[in-house]
Amino acid sequence: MAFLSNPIGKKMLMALTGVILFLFLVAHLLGNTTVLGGPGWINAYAEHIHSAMFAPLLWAARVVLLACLGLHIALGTLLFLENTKAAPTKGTFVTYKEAGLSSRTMFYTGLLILAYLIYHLLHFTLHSVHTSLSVSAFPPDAEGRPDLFRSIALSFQRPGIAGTYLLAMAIVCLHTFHGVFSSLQTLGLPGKASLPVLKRAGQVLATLLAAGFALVPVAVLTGWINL
Amino acid sequence: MRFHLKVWRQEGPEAPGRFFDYDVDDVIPEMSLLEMLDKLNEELIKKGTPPIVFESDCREGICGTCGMVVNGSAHGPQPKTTTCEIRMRHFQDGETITIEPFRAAAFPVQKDLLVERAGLDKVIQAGGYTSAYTGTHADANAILVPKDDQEYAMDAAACIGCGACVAACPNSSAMLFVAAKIAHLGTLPQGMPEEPKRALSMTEVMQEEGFGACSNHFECQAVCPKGIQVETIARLNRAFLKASLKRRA
Repeated sequence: MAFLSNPIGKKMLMALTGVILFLFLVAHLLGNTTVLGGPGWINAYAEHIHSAMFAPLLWAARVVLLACLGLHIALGTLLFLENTKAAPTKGTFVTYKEAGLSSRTMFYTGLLILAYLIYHLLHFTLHSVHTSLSVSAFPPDAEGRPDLFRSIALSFQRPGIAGTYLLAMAIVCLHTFHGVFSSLQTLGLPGKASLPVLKRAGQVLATLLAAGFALVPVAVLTGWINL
Repeated sequence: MRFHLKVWRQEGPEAPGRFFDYDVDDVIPEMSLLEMLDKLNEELIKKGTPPIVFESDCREGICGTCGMVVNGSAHGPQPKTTTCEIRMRHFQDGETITIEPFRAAAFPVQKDLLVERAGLDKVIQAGGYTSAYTGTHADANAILVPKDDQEYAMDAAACIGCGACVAACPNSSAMLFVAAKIAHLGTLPQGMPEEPKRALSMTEVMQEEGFGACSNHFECQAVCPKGIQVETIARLNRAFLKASLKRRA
């Protein structure tokens, strides 16, 4: 365990789990785009990934992601506490030159994302909040599949729910805006010439990802997607 | 020129400190910040007040002894400049200048602006030796080093170990300092054989001495008086990973 007792070792595992979680978000976003294709697409997609053929894969992915999430949170908290101890006060007049809002709020945005994640899972996976809007509350669609499309559209027609999701995406953007590049830097990827390019690319990627997720509630709110 | 100073003063390591206000008149624009403090100290001594304690040695930006946080910035507002190299013409006449010590748990304040930076020396000690033949010195070009490697090692070797990176880092991490040493020694043939050991031991001791871990804020790069680049940190991370894999094997 010498690797994990070293400050760089801890950061590396943190970065690696972060990258895996980000790749999951990319896959999740690709799945979400089926909403834009209408009820036929998203319902077929949802039925497909929940089918017996994909069940082992789905559960394997869930176990890996949960392990990554647990490690990411545990190491993040440990590093946050150690770093706070190393820097009890930074003086009376602190001016930041390179550190932006994103890098300075990583721990807090991380906590907010965890809170959102729990809410999101209760909403669309475990169906224990907004039960009147959950898939099981609606009759199957014309093809006899669970009508996820109706659940999504009716959920986001409520400004409160849509607003919560949009706010959460802003926080995810803030977290990954620093997180994507920071992971690559910790894993030792950048060279002299590629460092500024990777930094910018990470920021662009984070913004695009959050914007992509925000597209679904926005599309419902503006009436682009309706029943 | 005249200035209003707010200087952090603290009796000893355990004593509580606070800012004291001083007015300094007849400052010559060509004076360095330290010379301005010298002038103030002479006036304080004449008044029978204990002078402000601060460290300095070469006063030409090569020794890394001086260092204080000036207007919220380690080594002051001028980029790639040590405290001793800042001239008073870089400030506005009549300006209020705030001066406080480098802050980090690993840099306990001893008195006023003087902090204990022995933690950095411990990190250097942990780095160990480099393989070099003793006896008669070798021919100048006996070991050929590619030009790019020479330049890279030289840029990293510019680190004067002042600790500004630690002072500026929101985590008080010494990663830029360690990365500079690793990059400097590991790029040259004489230092290359011990690089894995060095990367592991220096980062371990860094943590033991109470420095934080790197969050890639890059505040260090912004204040480094010698322009050490954060790319060296990526290089250190690679060296650490290689060394860890090697240790496993």
